[in-house]
Formats: sequence, structure tokens, C-alpha cells
Amino acid sequence: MPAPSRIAKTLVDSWELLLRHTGPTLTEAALGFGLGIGVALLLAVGMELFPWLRRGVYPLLITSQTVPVIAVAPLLILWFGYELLPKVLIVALVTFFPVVVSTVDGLRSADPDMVRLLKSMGAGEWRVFRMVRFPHALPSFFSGMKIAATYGILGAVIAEWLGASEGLGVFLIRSQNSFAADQVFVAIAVITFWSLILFGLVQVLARWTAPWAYIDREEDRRGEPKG
Amino acid sequence: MTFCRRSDDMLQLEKLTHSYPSPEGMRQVVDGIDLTVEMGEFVSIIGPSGCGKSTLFNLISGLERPSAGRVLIGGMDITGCTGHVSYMPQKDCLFPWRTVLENVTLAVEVAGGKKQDARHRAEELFPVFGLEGFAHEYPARLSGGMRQRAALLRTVMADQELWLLDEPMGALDALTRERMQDWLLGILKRFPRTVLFITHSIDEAIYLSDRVVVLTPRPARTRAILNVELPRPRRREQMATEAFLRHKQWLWEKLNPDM
Repeated sequence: MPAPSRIAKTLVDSWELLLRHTGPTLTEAALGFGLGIGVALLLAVGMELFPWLRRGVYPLLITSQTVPVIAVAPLLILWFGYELLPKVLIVALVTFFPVVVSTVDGLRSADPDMVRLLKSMGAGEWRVFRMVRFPHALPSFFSGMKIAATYGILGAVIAEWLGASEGLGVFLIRSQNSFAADQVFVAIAVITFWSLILFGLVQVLARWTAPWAYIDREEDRRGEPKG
Repeated sequence: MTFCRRSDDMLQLEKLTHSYPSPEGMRQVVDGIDLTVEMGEFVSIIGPSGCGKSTLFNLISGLERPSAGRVLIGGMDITGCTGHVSYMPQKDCLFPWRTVLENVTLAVEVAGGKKQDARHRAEELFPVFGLEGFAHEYPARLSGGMRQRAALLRTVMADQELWLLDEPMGALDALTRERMQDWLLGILKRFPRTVLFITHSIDEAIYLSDRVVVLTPRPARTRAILNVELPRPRRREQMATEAFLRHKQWLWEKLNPDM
């Protein structure tokens, strides 16, 4: 067990090396996260608008999640080689599921009275989707995205274990092979740091896109005007 | 063949009948309701819980198509068509992701009208509805009474001749409710409209209405209609008059025929 002071020293000493390994991991994580979220959003919206798509795809989605990523990853590497693509796909695979599930739930749980009100004004299904279901689902979408954010870097690291020449995963394996526990701790610290950054970015995006969901109902509610 | 004819009748329900499929076969909810409401009239609908009052509103607003019968507005057959009435549900149903101003101009937006004009018109009305300074706030920052007034402003802005108000004050506390009733009457004086009003309160029905329709338990039929003989403008003191109490007792007996 290395002392914290030793870990700090290792961090400073291996700064250059760490930076070189952090770059690829962040690239994989960011691209994979973006791809996963994009596909998840499209699929969730598609399933809400087309019931047949929902009936066909949703059970498959659930089943697919029972297959461990660690078992799928070697296949992707066999097919797509040791380059960026398989790692991006792995990250996309782990981040996409929580986003689909929470977004679908959000879209489905829209207030039926709001839907009725809008329809009574003469609105059709598409307008109901745009004006009620989609905005209603945004907070759920972001909840899924926060869970996904914590998986993003982790997914990239796991993908690197299975075949890569650089990245934090490679750094971890090499540290393990040379029994350098202090370097393992440094790697953990870096992974945690970037996961928190990603989580924070999602939080900022959520507050910026859906500010109404963050109004403190009790504290901020104003009373009746005088008179 | 249908043709439009001029008439003072705002709303006509002709033998309106509706059934839902249920596990025990078809369940009839509304059974042959005939009703004519004149332009500018305030008619309350009162009946036991679950008697099908809300279904009646769904049929009139076109959200559901009746099994039989017709709905006419201004002589025009609008059975099963939406977009001809201004409907105010029991909950305020303000969209939390829209500012108050965006909420009250919702109907104009849906109807494809000019958003900018609607916003100007709405902003002029904000003081009348006690919402001054709240146009660009989210509804979460409004109190219960303010939310209800915003919902009514949304109803006004929809610019329809017929309003369907489904227990709009059911969720308010007694004091706010009384103030809202007087305030609603004031709004109607300023924006004369034809109103169909669902309520559970006999007092509220008499105080606000020209006529009160009593419905039977499910399936809903018209049991009785009361012509309210109280002069307008209505004042709170009238609630203690003999006429008011006589109306109250009459309605109570019609609502509880077995007691």
C-alpha cells in the first residue's frame, strides 16, 4: 500500500506520461459518449412516435444489456482492429442503454391532462410530442445521461485493456505488470477526475437546457400580489 | 345535408349518447342528453361524482366522438372536431417548461396565429389578471391562485366563444375560491362569453349561473334544470336571501332524491 505522499510524487513525476495516455482515452470516451447519447435519443423518440418500432426493438434492447460488454468487446476488436473505432463503439454501447430507458420513460409519463388540453385546442400528435412529451422527457433524459457519464471513461478504459497501444487502460495494465501500486492509484485518481468533469458538464448542460426543472419550489415561490 | 342557420343558440347538444367498451360489455356513460345554451349564458352542470360530467366535456370539446347524437356550435355541426371551444381543465395544466406568457398564448400558437400580436394582447391583460411582472417567469414561481388566473387568461386568449370550465376552482382553498368566483364574474363582464361550468358545489353553481343542470348518476341524463332567479350583478349578500336558499334546497333534493 503506497503512502499518499508517494502517490502524489508519482503523479508529478509521471505527468508527461499520464498526459500522453489521457488524450486517447478522453477522445474515445467523448466520441463514444456522443454517439451513444445520439443513438439513444433517436431510438427513444422513434419508439415513442412509432409503436411498431417500440414493440420490435425494446425487448431486444433489454436482452442485449444482459450480454456483458466484456464479452462483446473482443468481437468488436476482431472486426474493427486495434484502432479508435472499436473503443468508441464499446463506450457507446455502455452509455446508450441508461439514456434510452430513462428517455422512453420520460416520454411516456407526460401528463395526460396537458395532452388533452393541447388536443382540445386542435393540436395533432406531432405537436403534442413537440410541445408536451419531449420537454417533459428532458429531465429524465438528463438523468440517464448522468448515469451514462459515469460509465463513459470506465468503458474506454476497459476497451483499452482488451487491445490498445496507448490510453489510461494501457497505463493501468502496464503499472500492474510492473507491480507499481502507486501508478495504479494515480491512474484511478485521473479516471475519477475526468468522470467527475464529464458528470459536471452534463449537469451544466441540463441546467442550461431545462432551467425550469431546477426551480426550488418552496423557497422561491412568491406570494399573492397585494390588493 | 347540413347547412348553417343563424341562431342565438350558442351550443346545442342533440341526443348526445356515449358508451365505452369495458370487460362486461359496453358501458353507457352519457345517455341521450339534450341541452341548448344561449349566447352569453352561464350554465353550471352538477351531478354525483363519476356521473360522466367530464366525458360530456370530452364530447363537446371533440376529444372524443359520441356513440350517437350531435354537438352544434353556432348552428354548425362540430361533432368529434377539436379547436372550437376553449377548455379549462381542473388542474391548471400550465406547462412548466414555458414562461407564463408562452403558456397563455398557447392556443394562438396551436391555431397558427401571429405569436407576436398574441403576446402584445396578453401583456396588456396581465395586470387585469393580477399577473403583472410575471410574464417571463416559469409557472413554478406562481402561487396557487395566480396559476389559476394564468390558466383563465390562457382560456381568454384562446379567443373562442364557448368556454368549458371543468371544476376550475376545485383545488383552491375556500377563501381563495370565493375571491376567484367574484373575480371570474368580473372577467366575464369584461369579456362576455358563453360558459359551461362543471362544479360539485351547489352554492358555487347558484352564485355564478343563469341555469343549473342536474345530472343523474351514471349513465348521465338530465334530471332537472334550475333557472336561477337572482339579479345580476351577483353579490355575496344574495347568498343569504330567501330565493338563494330556496334554490339551494331544490337542488339538494334533486341531487339526493332518495333521502
